[in-house]
Amino acid sequence: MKLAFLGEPGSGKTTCIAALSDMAPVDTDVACTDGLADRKATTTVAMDFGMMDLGPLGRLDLYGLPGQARFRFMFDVVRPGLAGAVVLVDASSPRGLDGLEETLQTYADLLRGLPCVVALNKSSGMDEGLADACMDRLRAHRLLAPVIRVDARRREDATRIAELVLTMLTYNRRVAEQMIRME
Amino acid sequence: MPPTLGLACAGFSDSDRDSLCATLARLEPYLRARWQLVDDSQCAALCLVNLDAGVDAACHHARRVGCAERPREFAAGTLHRPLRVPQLLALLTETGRALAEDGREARGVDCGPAPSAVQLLVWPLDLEGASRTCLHVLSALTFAPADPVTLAARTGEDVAAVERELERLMHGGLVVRAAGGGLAMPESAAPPASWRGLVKGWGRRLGLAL
Repeated sequence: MKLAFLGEPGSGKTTCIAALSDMAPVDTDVACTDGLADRKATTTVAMDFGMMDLGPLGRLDLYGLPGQARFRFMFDVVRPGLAGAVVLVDASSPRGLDGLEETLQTYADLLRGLPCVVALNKSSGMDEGLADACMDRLRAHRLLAPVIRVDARRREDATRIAELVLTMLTYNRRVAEQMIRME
Repeated sequence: MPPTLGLACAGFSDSDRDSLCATLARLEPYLRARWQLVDDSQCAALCLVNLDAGVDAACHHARRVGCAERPREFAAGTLHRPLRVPQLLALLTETGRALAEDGREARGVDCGPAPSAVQLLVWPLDLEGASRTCLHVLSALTFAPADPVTLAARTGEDVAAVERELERLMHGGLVVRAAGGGLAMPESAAPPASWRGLVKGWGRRLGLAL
């Protein structure tokens, strides 16, 4: 079973995976050499990978995928066995909403019908209208998903995301059939 | 002999119906059931509703799917109009399968008024302190509209508790009641019963009480 974390650079995908993973996440971070260097020292150039052990029930693989359109092909790698997706937004960045829009433009068609949670990371002191604006973007892309505030560094926040995804997953026939076929 | 299922279309022009009839004939080799266009007043397994024509939602068919020239302006699951063949093929395949699983055939479907289904428009912005019932009701409605009794059965909650949650959500404008059963979506059938146990097991391993 897999859970995908999507979002623009700096939105907290790697951090969220690290907070949940039972092992040190495998990352593909390299030093930033462009304008992004003003915001963060490193960025993910391929995908992140982490894992949660589910004992005899298997394991939950955690994948971090960049939100930009040029990386859309990576979604095909994680699609088989995908249980849900978490879209991360950097709520502290003035271009957090643009980042969400780019992620939705890239992935919305693939996310429809999947359990999906939008997590506003670094949300302390964020613009109160951001959550509302995110909800509007989701509606424009015909996505039904909860929008929650998180601090991706905190395991309890990351666990709350997983709880929401699993609660939604309980009622998702499409994923259920796919998983049962794969077993 | 494949079962014959009735397909009604409300608010469609004669030319739309002729076009749909021709498309159904072309799709027949790809479908397990034989779909036949029936009059809107007749009992049908599925009804396509032209939302641009402002057709009243109080249609008596249990399974209804909206169609519109601009589907994005309507609820999730609305099809493009004029109908696109791949979308129609997917819808008929899924509906035929769901009906077969329900053990019903279109001719035998009870055409009486369906219980009042509820459709989720948007998740609440504030989930802090949301009850377990509320989260489960919202999660179930995310993938398909449902009436309170169906929701209670799917979530394992009391019907009264589900109705209270729905009232609250309706008061906040987050859900709407769709008279006559609401829009049937391709994912309208529930997952197998064993699935919930499996997901709960995953949750337990993660320390979650789902």
